[in-house]
Amino acid sequence: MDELETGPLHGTADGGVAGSSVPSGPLEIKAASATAGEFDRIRLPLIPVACWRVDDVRFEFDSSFVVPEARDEMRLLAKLIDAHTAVDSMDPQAKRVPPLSIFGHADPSGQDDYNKFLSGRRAAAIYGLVTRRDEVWEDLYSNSGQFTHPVQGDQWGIRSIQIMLSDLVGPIAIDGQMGPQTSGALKEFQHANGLAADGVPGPATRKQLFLRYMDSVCVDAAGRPFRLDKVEGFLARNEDPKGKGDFQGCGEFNPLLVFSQQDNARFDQAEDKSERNAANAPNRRVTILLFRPASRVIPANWPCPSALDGVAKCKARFWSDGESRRSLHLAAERKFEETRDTFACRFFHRLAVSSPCSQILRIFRIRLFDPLGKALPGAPFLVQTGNREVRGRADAQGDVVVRDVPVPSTCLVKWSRPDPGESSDAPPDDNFADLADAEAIEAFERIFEDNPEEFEYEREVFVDPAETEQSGGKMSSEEARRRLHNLGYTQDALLDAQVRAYQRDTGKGQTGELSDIESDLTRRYSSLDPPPEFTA
Amino acid sequence: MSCYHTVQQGEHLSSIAKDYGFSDYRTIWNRPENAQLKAKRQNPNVLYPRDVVFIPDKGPRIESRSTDARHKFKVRGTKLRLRLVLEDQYEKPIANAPCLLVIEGEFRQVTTDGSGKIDEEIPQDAHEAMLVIKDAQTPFDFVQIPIKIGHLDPVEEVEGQRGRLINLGYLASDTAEEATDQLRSAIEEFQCDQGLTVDGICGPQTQAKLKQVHGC
Repeated sequence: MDELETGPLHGTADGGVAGSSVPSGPLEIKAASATAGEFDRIRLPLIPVACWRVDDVRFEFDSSFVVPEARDEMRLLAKLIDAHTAVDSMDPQAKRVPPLSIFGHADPSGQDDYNKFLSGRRAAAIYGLVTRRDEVWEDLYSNSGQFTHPVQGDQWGIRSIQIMLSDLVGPIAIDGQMGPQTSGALKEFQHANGLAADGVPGPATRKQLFLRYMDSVCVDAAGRPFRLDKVEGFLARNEDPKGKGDFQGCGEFNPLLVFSQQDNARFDQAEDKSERNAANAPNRRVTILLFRPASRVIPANWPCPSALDGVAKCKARFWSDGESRRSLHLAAERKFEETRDTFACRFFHRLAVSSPCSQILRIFRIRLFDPLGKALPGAPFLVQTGNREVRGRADAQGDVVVRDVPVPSTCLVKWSRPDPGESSDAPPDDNFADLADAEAIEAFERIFEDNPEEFEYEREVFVDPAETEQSGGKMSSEEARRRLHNLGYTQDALLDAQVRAYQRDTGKGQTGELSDIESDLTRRYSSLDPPPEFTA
Repeated sequence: MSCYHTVQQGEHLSSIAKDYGFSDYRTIWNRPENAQLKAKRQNPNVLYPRDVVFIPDKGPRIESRSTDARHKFKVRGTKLRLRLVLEDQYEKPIANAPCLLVIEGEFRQVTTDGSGKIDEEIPQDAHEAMLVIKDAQTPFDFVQIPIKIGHLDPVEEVEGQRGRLINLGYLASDTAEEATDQLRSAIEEFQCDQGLTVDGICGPQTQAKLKQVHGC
């Protein structure tokens, strides 16, 4: 789906966001006048102009290997850099790009050092990708310790070779085992690239694989490969051979989300750590900050240690209460975008505090139905949230997936029944499994009249009907009204009438009692199963 | 008639002197009645709102000259200047950069010297200025820097600390909701850069360092 560029947020994809910072220059200077030899020293700060973020899902599990789907985010990055490139009106060739620095982030489970190294490796992987420096990827692959510190568990191995071959040559099984299928695909790749076709992923073959794969993943909106100059494109201009100032790992020091004590205790007790792992996903990310053109730093003066170094220099930049900021000392869950107090490193905090990428990406799903309760696969739709507008077609289940950073309380949905010939063309929803924790909303439209607009139906839906505090686990009447409203039983009616109308349509006894349909509402709200057909 | 003047935000001794008809702020500053204030603030250009300044009588001044000749009398006064040193965040001067300086609506083309300095004479009562760096070699090309002249408060006061930290680039934004946290972050970053104990408290040692680095 194509998204309009309005507001500070340039775009969101399944695995990341890109946005411009609120325009900020130096603040008002308060100067003293001078009558003797005194002066006012004005030190102009680094001014971030934009940010980009790629989330955990764009890396292999617990690994620094970038998966092909990161293409979506690379498109956003290309657009963002373009939007902030200064063009000299006298000399259109003299473009000045916004130099950037890459920050990897890990989640708070595990040791500080391990997380620092792992996040540094992810930052280096993105750095290698955008610069096409295959030697950085070779370092990650072979754990040579030239740019990054090896960590146990992050082994690219045959899996990475298989993922790259699948993308470049054609789908093969990704099982991490070197077998005839893999070596066959390798031979095909080697042959096509003028390499000795021995079916073995040696250094020369890896180099070509890396470069071809990078060209396949790091593409702009038109699908053309783009790369950044390792000098002009970066804040420290590759002056440091280890990349200090150009890319680094922040470890687990700057989480976007800190669990509540209660949640953490529950995660601790659980045998299965996958729930903790899933909840921690927003913290595992790589952020890029773009600065005003001509910005540069001297690596020796840059506070962040390189990806190879340990955590000591990070800790020197901690808030004096940095440890408690990132710890679970508060009962309530904290999100950086709300409480502004989860980053332990005050240097990164200062750079990122006004960045739209310091917010967690939310995904919610709306299923579209016709007035008779029939889901509408391939239905054309338009969703307005805040100042963004998304148009497209519902997927094969009749679902519309909306990705946004802030969660609106309501959004406006317009939709139509698909033309009879088109519904079968709806693409299957590949991302269904990724959306396990996404919210599902069912939007029905009961008003059956010709709409003068291009869409047949239109409804303001509540994105999070349960946002009001529940008392004793019982659904509040407000929540029930919102849920019924989303289902097409308008809020104008009394709750009692809404409940009766719902019961009538679903063939239940018309008691008008909320408690009789409460479980039904909750189930319909959270379940991905198709709802029962209406007996209209 | 002598009187006492209570300082308002944005006032400095030169502007106060001008308001009361004195051409030289030192006529006021050097009065014994102001000795305590002078000892406390040291710099006549950095006063704090509610500071009290003694304004002496403006008596006639008697000069003897012969009556059969033409005499030239020159009013002795002190010039007021705006003196800024521009640097980037790593203390590298923004040297030889052409700038536009607008003082009270008057446009001046100025160029920083090799150490990033701008030194301009300004009217005694100038309050508002705007500096625009016009140098594509710097990241600050066409960045507009609003300047409030005479608004810098003494370093002993929180507002004076905040002002100097803003001038030195330590405060990224100024939103009220985060003002306290941001100020603390700025103090800690400054302490960290200067090798002081990092505690987020701007005590006497940090104040002295802040004054020294800022230049006043």
